[in-house]
Amino acid sequence: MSDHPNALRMRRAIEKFMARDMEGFLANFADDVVWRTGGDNELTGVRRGKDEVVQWFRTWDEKTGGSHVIEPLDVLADDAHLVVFLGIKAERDGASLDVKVANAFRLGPDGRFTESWWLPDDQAAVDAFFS
Amino acid sequence: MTEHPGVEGARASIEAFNRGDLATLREFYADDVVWHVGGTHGLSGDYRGREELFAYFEKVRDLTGGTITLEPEAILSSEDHTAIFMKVSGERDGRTLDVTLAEAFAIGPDGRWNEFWSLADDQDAVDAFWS
Repeated sequence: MSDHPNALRMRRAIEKFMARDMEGFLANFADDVVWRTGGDNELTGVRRGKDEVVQWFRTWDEKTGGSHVIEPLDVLADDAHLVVFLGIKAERDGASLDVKVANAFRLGPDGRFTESWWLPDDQAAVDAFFS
Repeated sequence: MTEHPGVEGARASIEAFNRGDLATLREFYADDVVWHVGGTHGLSGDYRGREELFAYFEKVRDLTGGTITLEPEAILSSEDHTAIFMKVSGERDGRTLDVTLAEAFAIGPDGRWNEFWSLADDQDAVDAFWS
């Protein structure tokens, strides 16, 4: 894992998320963040601004019933980019999800996340789970 | 700062692709590589094994008359993963492509890439270009 200061920022952000401190987590996002999700499900598409990103996470929470387990596997960073690889598991109504997601970010001059790409290794599994 | 070997390898592979040197490019991929292409276009799907992957690369080059060009904005790597923010441009039957992909690669035990997945900043543009 990278020991770049931006990698440290990401590890702290994930800790906030795990502790359900959404305010602390979202403090890492630029107000006009662009958040992109591929596939063909309720999470798919482009969210613009923090409010829409909050809504994205709310959908995520509802669909997983808060059951998700997120494990940071690797963090790569330079001064303007950050990529975190996450192992994500969730269950709902007997359906289960187990994917590796690469979440890639462009960073602003202040280190906050200005753009995001959320990429699962198994898009079909994510589509099936969130549809 | 010394560059991670994974970054050097990624840069060499991009240069090989851009000059159409697929023989050199092959050396970077494991025999059992899995390459995921997202979206809803004619090339979307999973390519399994190096033969399928290179048939896909040949097809991409054929469909675009070899105009597809890769220009990395940033390359990040650890022992286990490589991530590239990649500007991809090309032309096909009067259509033009100009997008930035977030690309994730997993590195196998032999040091070669064994899995790839990606997401474009403008997935609709990618779908329209290849449809």
